[in-house]
Amino acid sequence: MDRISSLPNEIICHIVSFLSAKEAAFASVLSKRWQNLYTIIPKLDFDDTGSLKNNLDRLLALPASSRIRNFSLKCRRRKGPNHHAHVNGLLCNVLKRGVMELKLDIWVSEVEGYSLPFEVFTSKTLVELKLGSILTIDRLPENALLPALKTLTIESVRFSDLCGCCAFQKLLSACPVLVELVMRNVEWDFWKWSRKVSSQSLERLTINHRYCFGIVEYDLESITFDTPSLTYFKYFDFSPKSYSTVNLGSLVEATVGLTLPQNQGWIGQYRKSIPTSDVTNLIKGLSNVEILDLYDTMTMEAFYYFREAIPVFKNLHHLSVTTGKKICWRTLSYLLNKSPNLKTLVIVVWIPKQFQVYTPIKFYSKFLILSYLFMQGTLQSNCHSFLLPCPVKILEITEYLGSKGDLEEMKQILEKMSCLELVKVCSDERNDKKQLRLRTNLLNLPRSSKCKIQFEFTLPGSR
Amino acid sequence: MSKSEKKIVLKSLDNEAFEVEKAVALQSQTIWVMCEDKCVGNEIPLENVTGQILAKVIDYCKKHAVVDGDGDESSEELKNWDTEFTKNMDQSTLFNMILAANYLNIKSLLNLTCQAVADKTKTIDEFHTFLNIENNFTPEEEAQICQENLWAFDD
Repeated sequence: MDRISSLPNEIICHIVSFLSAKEAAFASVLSKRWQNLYTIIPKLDFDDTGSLKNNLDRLLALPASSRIRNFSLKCRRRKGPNHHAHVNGLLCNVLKRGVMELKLDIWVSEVEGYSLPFEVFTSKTLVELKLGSILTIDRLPENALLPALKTLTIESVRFSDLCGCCAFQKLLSACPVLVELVMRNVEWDFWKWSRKVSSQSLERLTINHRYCFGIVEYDLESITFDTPSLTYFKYFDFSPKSYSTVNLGSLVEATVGLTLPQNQGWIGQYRKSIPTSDVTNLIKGLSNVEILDLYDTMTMEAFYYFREAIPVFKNLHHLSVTTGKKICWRTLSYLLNKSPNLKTLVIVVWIPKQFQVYTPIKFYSKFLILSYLFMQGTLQSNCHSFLLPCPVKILEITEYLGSKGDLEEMKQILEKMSCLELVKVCSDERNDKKQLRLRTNLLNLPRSSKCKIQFEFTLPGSR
Repeated sequence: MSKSEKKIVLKSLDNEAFEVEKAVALQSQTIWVMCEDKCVGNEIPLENVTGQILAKVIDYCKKHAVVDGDGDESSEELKNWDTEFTKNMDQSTLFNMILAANYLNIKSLLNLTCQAVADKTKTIDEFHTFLNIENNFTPEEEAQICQENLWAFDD
């Protein structure tokens, strides 16, 4: 017997008011009566254009059984004296409506004394949560628990501690099934007490430090990663004093970009002052990785400086490195010696546009990407004659510009890499005449008779 | 106040009588109004509730009356008791409890039981089996509505 049909409509609505948007959708798929009793609003986006008060009134006017699936709030301007109360009123209301995806982009300065409502940290229905930006989280409720949360993004959020343990750690421990954590514009240096990412369930972690040019002083204490289930790790950061614990035993894919303040360098002429940071444990912690990308030359230098720490990468089959300076080629040779099962090597060459200014990342233009596909076995080489004994048969060059320097580089490559059978050259050039010149110049270079050159002209960014 | 005035008798649909403290029974807004009106004596007939269900409702009210009065149990303990209370209720009992809570107008019990139903229906199969909702869509309608709610089904 259909028991539920004996319930009056208002009780059905009352039951629905305890359901997430998803569960409410299940129920509405089952019966016409249910479908007509309540609405599920798939997406609600509020931004600066409307008044917060009006938006709040609209929400409050909805019946309690109305469910909201996705909600986003963007408000970067402060309006009116009750601004914070209105923001929190909106949040509490949508959280009562079984919201599954909540995206916040609110700007509030620390001095304003704004706190997110505790309901954000006790929602049973949230699956995806984005907190941003320019926001301080200093306390969580005692019973903080987000039992369904899978994806958490925090952008420009500072954490501190007003309740005895770091709010960030407390947030992570309140998410028992968290799979993905994205932290953008992190400023660990402004966090109070804890720079510890600890989660048993976490599989994907992305960290981007807020890069500020001209940073001279940088005092970052140790960072900890205790994430035993992590398989994907994308990490851009200033190097801290140390990594006290690095637990990345399940790691499959990692991209690492480690930088230093402007007046510091690991080696060479840029080393005006010796960095106090130690990345030994991080390098050791990567040992199980299968796909590794060392994002920039600074990272290559760090790996050179701490080369004693480089473990045997027994699972590594795909390595992507960045070169541009001699030292990077040396790092590469160390890496290759520790990578017995490497199949694919991608080499990205960064050339500084202005040699006199050495600043990490931004002032570099991408010059060549050489993708060496190893047909078999390990590469035996030393750094100085790196290209000579290379058994590479296929070479792919992306973003070829065709300048004099490029042509000289290509001449060297074609001369030295005697095993080449196919060179794919990709260029963004759109002018027909220039395409012809680029093509002719390359084809006129001396090369082995079995080596073919293939051209591909693509629109920028289409690759 | 004499002892008898502090007690009240609730009589179920199937003529089962329960003698309870007034403070316990008055958690029901319906009973409270009946007592205020003095339209009934010391015995209140509840024609929509069976003895089996009424017994459970009284259990709930006793527990909550004691706590509200003495405050000797923490809200945490009370919460655990509530969870246990609805945990093993079968579908039919739970719906009768909802109807009883609605009729007797006991807001916290209505919330608790509705929440329990919501908690027991997390997947579409649970909706089918637990709520046993009769599907009255035509196949075309069902296909369309499934399409509209596709987001709920991809996991």
